Parts: sequence; structure tokens; C-alpha cells
Amino acid sequence: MEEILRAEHLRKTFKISAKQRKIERTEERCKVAVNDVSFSAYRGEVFGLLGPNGAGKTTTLRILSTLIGADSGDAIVCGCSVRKQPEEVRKHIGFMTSELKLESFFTPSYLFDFFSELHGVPKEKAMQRKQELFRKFGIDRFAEVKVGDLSTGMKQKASLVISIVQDPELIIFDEPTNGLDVLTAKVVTDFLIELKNMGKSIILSTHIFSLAEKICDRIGIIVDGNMIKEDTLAAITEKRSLEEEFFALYAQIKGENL
Amino acid sequence: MKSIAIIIKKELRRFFTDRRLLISVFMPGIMIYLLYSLIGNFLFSTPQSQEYKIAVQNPSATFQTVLDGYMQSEEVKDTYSLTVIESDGQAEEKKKELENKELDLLVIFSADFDEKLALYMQGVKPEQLPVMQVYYNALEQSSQSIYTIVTTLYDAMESSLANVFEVAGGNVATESDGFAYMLSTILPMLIMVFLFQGSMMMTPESIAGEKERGTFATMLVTPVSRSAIAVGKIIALSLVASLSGLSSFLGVIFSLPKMAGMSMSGLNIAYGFGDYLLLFANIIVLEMLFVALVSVISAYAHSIKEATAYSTVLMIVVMLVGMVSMVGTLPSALWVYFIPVFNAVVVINQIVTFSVSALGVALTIVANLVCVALLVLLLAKMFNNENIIFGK
Repeated sequence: MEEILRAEHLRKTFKISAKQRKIERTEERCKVAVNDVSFSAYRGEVFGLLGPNGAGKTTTLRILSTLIGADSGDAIVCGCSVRKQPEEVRKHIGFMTSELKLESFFTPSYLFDFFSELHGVPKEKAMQRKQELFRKFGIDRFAEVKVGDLSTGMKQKASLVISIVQDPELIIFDEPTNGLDVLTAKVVTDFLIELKNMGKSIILSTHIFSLAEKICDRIGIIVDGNMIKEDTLAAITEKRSLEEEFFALYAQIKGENL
Repeated sequence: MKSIAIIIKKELRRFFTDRRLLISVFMPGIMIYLLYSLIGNFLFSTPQSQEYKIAVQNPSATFQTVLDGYMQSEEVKDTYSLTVIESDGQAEEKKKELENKELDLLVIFSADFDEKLALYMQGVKPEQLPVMQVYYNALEQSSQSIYTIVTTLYDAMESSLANVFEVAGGNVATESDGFAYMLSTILPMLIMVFLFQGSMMMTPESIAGEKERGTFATMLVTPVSRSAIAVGKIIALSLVASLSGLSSFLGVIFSLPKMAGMSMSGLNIAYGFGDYLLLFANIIVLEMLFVALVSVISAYAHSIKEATAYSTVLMIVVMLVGMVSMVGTLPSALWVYFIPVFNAVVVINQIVTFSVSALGVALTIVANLVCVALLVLLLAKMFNNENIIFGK
């Protein structure tokens, strides 16, 4: 199995503002968001990062996609270091989260061209890809409608397709269904399954067990910034379901029953 | 380089295909022209002819001569009707009429006004000076005007009587010199304000807005370098801002002669192509500097609203710098050209008053460009800062 990503001892801390300290009733000035996280993902597989809100999933994925820098540690993504070659890393990855939006003034078609250009995709190849992807995901019907005038589901489809304009080697999804209604969420999960069937390498963070069980090959469970378990889905769910396994591990770590 | 061009293209497309943005950029220039022209026309319109109702007690011969002399001059189309009153009682009545706006002016001369004046002119100083009382109603415009006319005429006569020598001569400045002077005092401030407003037109929306809407991060996950985004944005925004600044500037230039009560020919003054070129180069660089400043502010701000609020504070500072040329003589020492923004005020002033030096302009442009470059670096650094991009 070829490694497509290797995270090595990633650590990230955030300063806690005075206001935040008051809310959380803590004296600590620093919060460890990601604490010595290491894991590997393999080509052609879907890696699921599982954990409750605030566990450090988003921070980890943002470090991997070079949007933020780690305090220490490094990650090799598609053979490039996120620390030393962030621009190279971004050439090989597609990053998708519900927080990244498309400018509502432009049409999906124009934005596809714009991001293709930014990724340096040759014009002809971009045209071909646009036709192919737009047809496949039914975007061709509203390709020339301004994003602002699209329904949430259509917007989400456009965002998904545009996040993979350059046919990335690795696609990172940060809580892709977060805050979406059931129908739009289905658009996203269908898209993920489609990508998996196409043999894409994917890293996905989620707290939805059913989704993880459905598409992940490998699972990493992260709690309070620590990776407490990393294994194949098959190994983790050998004895019990993913959900049961997760809560058992969680209780073990936190020393409390849920 | 290529990615800079892509960013510029997108920013310009955003602007040129949005009718609302286009209108908001060009409207100020048109509004300024219309408004200033309207004010100018109002200030310098020839008033309609007016008939003043004047009542006089103990009429003096000089009064009529002086007033006729004025009324019959070419530019004046006004006339007046004169009522002579006999008694003090009648004068009281007339004061009431004045109050009721039925009369415009009441003049009461002392009984022997003309004789005493004649004596005075012969060099004999009478024991009692001739007295002239003028009553008017400040609430009535016609009354106010005739009062001003009469008192001005008599003041002139009085001072000519007391004159022991004659002062002759006149203003030797041509119309264009006068216009140049007016421009030199007011223009730097106007240019500062319009250029700054131009930079505020699109920049907060393009940087703080994209951040606020989450579209900025989408661009950050592409392989484009942060500095390419910073440079691309600043160039595109400067172009748009310059258009907006130019529109306002033309609005002012075309309406200023009207504001000054002059014809458009006042514009045909001795500015050559070179002067315009210097002014233009200076303005473009200044606009870039403003855009870079507002960009940094916008990157720091969390929302468009915040960015606009911070920028407005900076605009007031810039306006004050521009106003320096209105209050005093500007220094022309070499160090002046190294102070960003202020150097541009000095240079614009010099261009307009025909005293510009090539070295000064060159230093100014270089100094301001260096500032722009530093601000671009800062902006690229800010785009790399996760607290700036994702900070709540």
C-alpha cells in the first residue's frame, strides 16, 4: 500500500482570550487543540477522522491543507512537506468544508474556469473536465446561473465539484455535511461515494458514524486533541459497531460513563 | 506572474459586470458635477430686476444723484420709487410699514444735510456733522439689498470726501492665475478625498467582504501564493479606484469654473501636457497607496462594516493632510518628499502653481511606491496569518 499522507507528531495550540477564559472558567492561557497527532493514509482509501466537536479534527485538517501552520511536527502530503512546501502541497489536494464558500456574484461555470486557472489546469483539459463533472453531478442545468440565485443543494454541488477542479490526488473533507439539511447532506454523501468508487484518496472528518461506516476504509478516533485509536474499519468494528466502540473508548479516556 | 493576472482578471470582471457597482463608482463624479454646477449657477445667476420702495425725510439732492448713478449703470436692472415724507409722525408710520415689509428702506437726513456737506467740501468743518439715518428690515431680502447698496454707496462717498490722496492701480493677475491659485489651495484636499473615497469603493468589499463570506479561504487552498493574491488584488482595486477617483476629479474640474463664477474658458489655462502627465502619475501612485492602506485595514477587520468604519477614520486624517495647503505655505525642503501622502499634497500644489520640480515628483513617486510595496508585503503576511483569516 502506498502512503499518500503521513502526519508526524502534529501539535497546535491556540491562545485563549481573556473573554473566552471567563466563559470557560479556566486560568489556562493556552489550549492544546492538536496534541502529538500521527497517522497515515493510503492511496485509493478513505480515511475517516472521527471525534466529538472541539476534538481537533478541523485543526488537524487545516494543518494538512496548509491553511494554518502547526506549532511543531510535520506532515508529508503527496510527497511534499506542509511545513516547507505549502504551495506544492496545495497543488495536489482538494479541500472542502461548508465554511469555504463560492462568490455568489459569479456562475458555477465561471468559477470552475477561475479555479482551474488558479490550479494551472491546461485550458482544454479544464473544458473537458468541466463538461464531464457538470454532467455527472447535474450542474449543467444551472451552470450559467449566479451562485447567489442557486438553492442550497445546487450551491453545495457546485462547491464540491469546484473543490476538485484540478483532479487532486488527495481530497480533504472537513465535516462536509455539517449544517446542511438532509437533502443537501445526501448530495454530499452521494458525491463522496462517487469519488470513492472512482478510486480517489480521501480524508474525511465527521461525527456521523453511519457515514464513516459506509465509506471509510480506515478510521482515526480523536479526542481532546489526541489520536486515541487508528486502525482499519474492519479491525475496529470486529467486536462491536463503530458507535459502540467509539463510546467505549471515549469513556475509557474520560473516565466517565456517558 | 500568471496567477497575479488571473486574480486581476477576476476582480475586474467582478466589477465591470456588476451594474450596481459601476453606478456606485461613476455616480459621485456625475453628482459632484451636477451639484457644484447648480450651486455655482445659483450663486452667480443674474438676479431679477427689482423695484425698491424707499421713503425719504428731508431729501438730499446728493442721495438721488448717487442712487441714480448706481441704478443707471449697465449691469443693474433695478429701479426704485421714492416717497417724500414731511413730518416726524409720518416717519414713525413709515417705520411700521417697514416692519410690515410694505416698504424697503427709510432714510432720514438731518435738515441741512446738503448745505453742511457743501461746506465740508469747501474745507470748512461744520459744528455739527450732517446725519443720515437708514432703517431697513433684515427679514426682507429686497430691504436688505437696498440697505447694502445705499450704505455702500455712502460709505464710498464718505471715504472719498476724507481722502487726502488717491490710491490707483488694480489686480494684475490674469483670470488663469487666479484660477490657478484657487485650484492650488483647494485641489490637493479634493484630490485626497476623492482618491480615498475611490479606494473605499471596492476594497473593503473585496477583502473584508470575501473574508466575511468565506470565499477568501476558498482561494487560499489553491496553489497560488499569498503575495500573488495580495498583488493581484491591489492592482485590480487600484485600477477601479482610479476610475472612480478620476470620475470625481473630472466632476470637480468641470464644475469648479462654475463654482468660481467663470466660464469654461477659465480652464484653458497654461497647463501643458507634461503637467497633466505629472499630475496623473502622481494620482495613480497615490491611489495605489490608499488602496494598499485600505486593503491592510480590510484584511484586519472582521467585516465590511468594520473595515469601512476604520477606513473612514483614516480618511479624515488624509483630508486634514490635504487641507494643509489651504492654510499655509507648504515647505519645499527635500525631506518633505519622503513623507508619504503629504509629499503628494506638496507636489500637486506645485504642479498647479507652475513651480514643480522633476526631482520632487520623482522622489514622491518612488517614496510612495516603496510604501505600497511594503504594504503589499504586510498584506501577504496577513493573508498567511491564521488569526487574520479565521479569527472570529
